Amino acid sequence: MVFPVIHSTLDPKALTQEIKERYALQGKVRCQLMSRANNDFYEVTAAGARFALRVAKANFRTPDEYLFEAQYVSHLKAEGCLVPAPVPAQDGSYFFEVEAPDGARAITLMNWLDGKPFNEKLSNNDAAKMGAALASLHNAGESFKSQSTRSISTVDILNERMPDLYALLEADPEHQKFYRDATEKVVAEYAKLDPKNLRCGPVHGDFQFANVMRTGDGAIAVLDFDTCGTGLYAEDLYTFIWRSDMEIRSEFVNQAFVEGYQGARPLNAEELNGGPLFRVARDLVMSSTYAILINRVGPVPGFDGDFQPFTQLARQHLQYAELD
Amino acid sequence: MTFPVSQSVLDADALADELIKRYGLKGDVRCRLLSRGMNDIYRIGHQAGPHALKVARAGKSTKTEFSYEQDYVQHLSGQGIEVSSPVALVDGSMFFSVTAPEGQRHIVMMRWLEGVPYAGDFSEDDAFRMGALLGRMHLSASSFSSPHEKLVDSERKVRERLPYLLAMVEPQSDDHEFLARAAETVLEQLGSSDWKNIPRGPCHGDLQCANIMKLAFGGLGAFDFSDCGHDPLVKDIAAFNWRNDFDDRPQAVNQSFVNGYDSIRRLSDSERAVLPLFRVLRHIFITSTMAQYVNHIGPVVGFDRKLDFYFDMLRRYCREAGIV
Repeated sequence: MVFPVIHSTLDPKALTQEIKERYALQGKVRCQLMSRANNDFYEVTAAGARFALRVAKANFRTPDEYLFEAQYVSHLKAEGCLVPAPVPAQDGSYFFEVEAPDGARAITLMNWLDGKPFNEKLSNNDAAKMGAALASLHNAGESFKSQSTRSISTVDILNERMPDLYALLEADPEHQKFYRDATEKVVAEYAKLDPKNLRCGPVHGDFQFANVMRTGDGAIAVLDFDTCGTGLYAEDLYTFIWRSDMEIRSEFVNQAFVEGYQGARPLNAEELNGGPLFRVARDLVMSSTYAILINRVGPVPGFDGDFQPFTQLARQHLQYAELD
Repeated sequence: MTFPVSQSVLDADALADELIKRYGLKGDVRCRLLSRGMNDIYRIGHQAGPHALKVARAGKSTKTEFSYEQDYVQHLSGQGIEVSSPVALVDGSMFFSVTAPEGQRHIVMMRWLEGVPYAGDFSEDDAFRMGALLGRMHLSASSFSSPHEKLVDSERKVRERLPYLLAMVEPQSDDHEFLARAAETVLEQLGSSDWKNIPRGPCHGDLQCANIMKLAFGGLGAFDFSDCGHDPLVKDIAAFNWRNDFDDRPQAVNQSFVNGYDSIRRLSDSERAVLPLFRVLRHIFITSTMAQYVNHIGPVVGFDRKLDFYFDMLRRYCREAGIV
């Protein structure tokens, strides 16, 4: 009997063959694994042309949800945003699925973007540019229409993923209790939000600095739309701020980012007021997400058994939101 | 049809059930993935734990070779060396195997070493202690015997893996030609009768600083014996040197390591003389291995198409060995 597996790496030769058959690529096709994490990314080269290939983790989304993503990213590209738009296969489809031992995996070939992703050494000026880039995505997304749906609900994510974090913290009742209480408070606060005053539309879902790239000519490109969907625009800002809080730890950078955003797309009063809640909610979403992924990709720095950095931030942000 | 895969991550819950059955573990058993590389390493939490668990990659070792590894580690443990020694299963065996989608994978549960592996900067005193540890391991292993056989055989592996590396280098370029010539020369020179009588015995095979741990209660421990086997002993020193040079630590660290080694087991003149050649071999072995496995585990730092650093290091090693 074949042992059950949670993740797999596709055989590169078989993958190359599959790509050759499905896409109109010229010359010798070569796939090279660039990163193996939650999703696997390959660099595909064919007759001097470069592409990025994403093999999504198994059973992660429905085909309809992948279609939403492909259409959204294509729309952004058409609106002038620098994004890795999907390359259509010969049959016109934007992605295909293969049955891997861990389940169905969706594969998308995308345009290659040349540049360098940002890291934690981010200047205030860079942060402001990134804020403006996110605002551009949101502005461009206003005209996006799709028959497909993919919605982001923070409360649903917490309900789904938090049990994994509680299980991980079984040997640490104090931490476990903190997260249980914090989640309860955050969920209760979300119930009080007035949806009429919070703008909703297609959002990136993970606009952290590592998913933003400076291209050779100094423009800003945005990568990894893996967790995009229809959600609260204002929440998207806190995907940047979460990573910034974890690694940059500068309120000036956060402020510059928000100001950069507001320069291109002002936030309304309710969106600004919701900020502290969205910030702590993001902490909880990320902690619980790591808990569900830990046995798939291994631990990430700061989440290797010592939850202090995560917890410290969540405690602080709970205070900012006056929920402690 | 299930898509072919080159690597997989076993389902942690299924793995826990298997361990309960095979090792007779009691109570709640939890497997947490600690690292996902060439092999996957888990921390096993249970009543009498914790333990470490290695799920070796498919095709890495035959059953005989894996048995040799367990015999060797047990022997070292019996000689008072702090190592992650295997724990016996209920049936008395030292490991078991499962059929994963990519092939048979051997699994061993081991003693948990509490401590911190060396990384970043460390002192010359630390290097001296690490060298002394290796010296003790080599001396202790002189009384080792096993009904199983395992050769490190990096010369054969270099011949097998070099084409993968050459394929990543521009054909007809200086680098391509240099690499091919360096490999040919080093293999030819090491095959000469001059080195037939250098001392051989059971070696760790990859005793770089990251596989040595500063133990919580004091002293040093060694782990990751995946590459162990019968080999010239001095190759273990080349392995340490390689990582030290790769991480750009001072040469004084290498010298302290050798001094520490000499304080326990003095290197012979012929071992000292052949060491530069083994460093060249080690470098080509490591880079060829990375090239072969890049589509299994993804690239490692500095190995993302730009191989300049690796070629600079190869040229330096070749100069030091007086070849090419």
